[in-house]
Amino acid sequence: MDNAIRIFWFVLFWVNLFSVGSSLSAQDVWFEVPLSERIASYDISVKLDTELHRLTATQTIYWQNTSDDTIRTIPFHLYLNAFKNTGSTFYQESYGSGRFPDLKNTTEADWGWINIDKIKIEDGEDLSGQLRYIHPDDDNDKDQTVVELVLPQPILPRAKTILKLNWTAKIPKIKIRTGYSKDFYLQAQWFPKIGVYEPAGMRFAEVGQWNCHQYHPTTEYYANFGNYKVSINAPANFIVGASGTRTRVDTQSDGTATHHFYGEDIIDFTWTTSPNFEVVKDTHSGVQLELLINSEYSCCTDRYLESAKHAMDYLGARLMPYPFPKLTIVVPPLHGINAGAMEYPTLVTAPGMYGFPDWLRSPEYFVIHEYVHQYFMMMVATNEFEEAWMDEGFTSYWKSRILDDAYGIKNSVIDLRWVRMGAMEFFRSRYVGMDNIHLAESTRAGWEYPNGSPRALFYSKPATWLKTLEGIVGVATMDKIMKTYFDRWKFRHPCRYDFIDAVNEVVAENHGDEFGENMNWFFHFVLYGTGACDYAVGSIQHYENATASAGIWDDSLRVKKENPLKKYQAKVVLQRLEEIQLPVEILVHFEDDTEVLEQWDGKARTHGLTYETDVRIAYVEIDPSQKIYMDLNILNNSKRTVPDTRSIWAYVSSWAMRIQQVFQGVSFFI
Amino acid sequence: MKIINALKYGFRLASLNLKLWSLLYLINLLFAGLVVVPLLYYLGGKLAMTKATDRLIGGFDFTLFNDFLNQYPEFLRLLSTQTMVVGILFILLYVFLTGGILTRLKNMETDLHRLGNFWTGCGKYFWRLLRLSFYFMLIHLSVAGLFFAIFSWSVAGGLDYFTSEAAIFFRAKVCFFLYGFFALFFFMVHDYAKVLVITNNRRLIFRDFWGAFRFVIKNIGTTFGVYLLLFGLFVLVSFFYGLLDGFIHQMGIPSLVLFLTGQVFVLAQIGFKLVNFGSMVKVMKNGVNE
Repeated sequence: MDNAIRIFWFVLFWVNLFSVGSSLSAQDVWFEVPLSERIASYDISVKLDTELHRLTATQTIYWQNTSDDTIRTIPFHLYLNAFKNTGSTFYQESYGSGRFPDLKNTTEADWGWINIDKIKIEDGEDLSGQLRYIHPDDDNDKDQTVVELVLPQPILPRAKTILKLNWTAKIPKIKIRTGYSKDFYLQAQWFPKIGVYEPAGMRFAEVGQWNCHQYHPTTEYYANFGNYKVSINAPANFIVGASGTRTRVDTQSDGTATHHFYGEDIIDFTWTTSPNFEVVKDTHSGVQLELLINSEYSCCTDRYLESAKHAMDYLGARLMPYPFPKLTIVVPPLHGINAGAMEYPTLVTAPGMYGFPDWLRSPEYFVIHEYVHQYFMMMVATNEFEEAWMDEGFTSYWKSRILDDAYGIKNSVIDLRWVRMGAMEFFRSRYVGMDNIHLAESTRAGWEYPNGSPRALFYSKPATWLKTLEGIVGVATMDKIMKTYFDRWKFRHPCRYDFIDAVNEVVAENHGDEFGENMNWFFHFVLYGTGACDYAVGSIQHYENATASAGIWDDSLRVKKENPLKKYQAKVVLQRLEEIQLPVEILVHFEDDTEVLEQWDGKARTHGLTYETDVRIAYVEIDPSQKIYMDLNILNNSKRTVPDTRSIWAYVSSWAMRIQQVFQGVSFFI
Repeated sequence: MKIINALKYGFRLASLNLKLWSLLYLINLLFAGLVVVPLLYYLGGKLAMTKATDRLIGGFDFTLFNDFLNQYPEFLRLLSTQTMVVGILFILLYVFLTGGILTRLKNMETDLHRLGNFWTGCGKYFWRLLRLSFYFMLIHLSVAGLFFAIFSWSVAGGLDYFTSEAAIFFRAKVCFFLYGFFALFFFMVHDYAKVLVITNNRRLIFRDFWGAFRFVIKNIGTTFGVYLLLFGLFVLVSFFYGLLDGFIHQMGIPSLVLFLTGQVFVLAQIGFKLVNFGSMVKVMKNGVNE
């Protein structure tokens, strides 16, 4: 036994000794078995110059051709060039958004750019002369956010390649997401990132092709999974936070420090730094939580951390426990707020402000939203450019569920005594309140929506119809759909067909053909269509049956009273006012408090119900449980036979009292 | 002691004027009714037949509110216009009533049981008090403008200059507090000017306007002491009412109870107005006698 212990400690000693000697110890490795294919991995060493707001970097990209195709070119995102000039697609599409300052007042400090100084394949010759800007989305030849390298030698099927780059960049002042504001830096979309090669059959690809879009204000993500080793050199007094986990910090003699970070199975890498961050550490379910927050916002520290924990528990129970070892929450200062409310792998940003009121759950709202993105888009890595609804819609749906579960369905976003609002209510209101609800289908690419960026089409509308789907199939089936879809596509790149397949499969399992052969009809309306949903109770009429039926009914020649009739014949007319056809429930409530729950397939433009009854109908209500959450107008979903203003009186009387008090309060000073 | 005596006198006058108190309450109720009754008819006309209004039983319902505004977008414009018009009428009416209230309080000891001189006072001093209110409105706008300018100057450069948001908030708080202090001072001078207008019964109000300033500054300890004490008392009552209101709301006690406690608070507000004027009459009498 003693010998065994001795051998154990001997082995452990040598393992540790060797581990310390390497740049990455065994304990830093996240997963014994890779969670993804790890097609594109990056080693980056970057130096931040806080005087000139510049980055100087060396970068190695390990890329694997997992297809059977021969690759002759490689495109890269150079997204900092979106901030290079007014000709960029990003600038053009942002026109009128107020993101860019008045051009008369701009200085060099406002703009940003990135330039690849050298690019080599392994240790070959510099190929920077072979780089050319391409514009796959809009033919805007002034846009320099995608560059293509023409390879001197093609990359053969299943082969690996190593690209070595030297690049420099000027960091823009924060307009949106990335940049600097005073001494706060948020570096997102900051390095040359390779596009995604889609062989034939992957998502919508009919032939093998690169998928590498220009930078647009509305969309920004689609990348392969990989491992990231990033070293960031910054002034020693600057606190640095980043995607992944910190492996070590080296202090330099020139007053700087180099922070080494490592991440596995992630699609991007983002970092932030500022001398004014306060670091708050916590752990939850084995995950390290690190909050980087301005010390003036410390009153909200618990709000950021607790909401993250609640989201971790909620999704952990329904989809999968958060698999990464760390989550970093960055709260930008108010002057850098445009870097807030963004999601990056294992790092989220949530806006903050000094003295944030308790009744406005903005910290919780953004932390939970960006955390859900860790699942939808960071793990289930959809193409945000082409199917923005698949990450923002899913995230909005889950975020609402989590917020409503944590804080209440009527007050999870605004919680004042007299005005309150739940998260799901909020998303529904954004959808049903659109200027033109028929504007476009949700399947367009992010930049192809008419007249700018109707975010409601990829945030609110999908969230609302996902809630509607939940209403139709039930929460248990919905959770199973999501779990099936998530399990099948985590650390991969699905498209809409894959979600629809999961829905069809699970609904068939749980409900048979209750909703038809499949659920494609649902997606026909909500995803591909531009129609809306509005059901209404048209009319309720009662006809008094004047007499019982009487007369000679057979050959007996005696007058008989046959089958005495009920007192009334009640007729209810229901209407479908918009295009979307969904199955709905109808509650018919009679004056003696008896109720009938009817089903209507919701297909016809109008539907009638008839009752022979001794008591009158008191009211009829379509969708009494609000399962059809996307119904535009709840006011016309029900109708009474006798007007009732009691609840209006009760509510308005409370307003009357407030008006009295305000009037009288003002009169004190008159 | 002068302060306590003045307040005691104010409370005594207010307690002896239950008729006036009731009248002011009824006027308040009437004006709130002018806003609310058309609103009720409007809402009743649109919503009486839908069962969606049941969602209001639990209080404000965002979905109902949202869908209602989507269907009837003119509602908020109607409501705000109506509230504004009625509010302006209410202010004018209160200027009108102030003449009556002060006439009555001034003659209380000789003429306790007649409301006749109340209405005479209302009509007699209306235009003078309206002009006085206009001048003081200009003063208040100037004071507000001055403090806003001081705040703007103190945070020039905003977040481009300040590293601390707390510093900006602190300046805002200080400016707001000082503004409140000065605003209260001018509200008080305004009230003393009203008393002087009624006491002196002069056509030209400028002498009363300046007279009020002179009187207040000469007796600053008593005048501002009484006013601040009464204002503090009012804030305290409002605070406790807020607690009670919140408690009733939280406990889900029927809205009738909420409404009734609200009415008690309105009565208290009217009472404070009367106490304020009553104590000023007393301070003025003492000041003149001295």
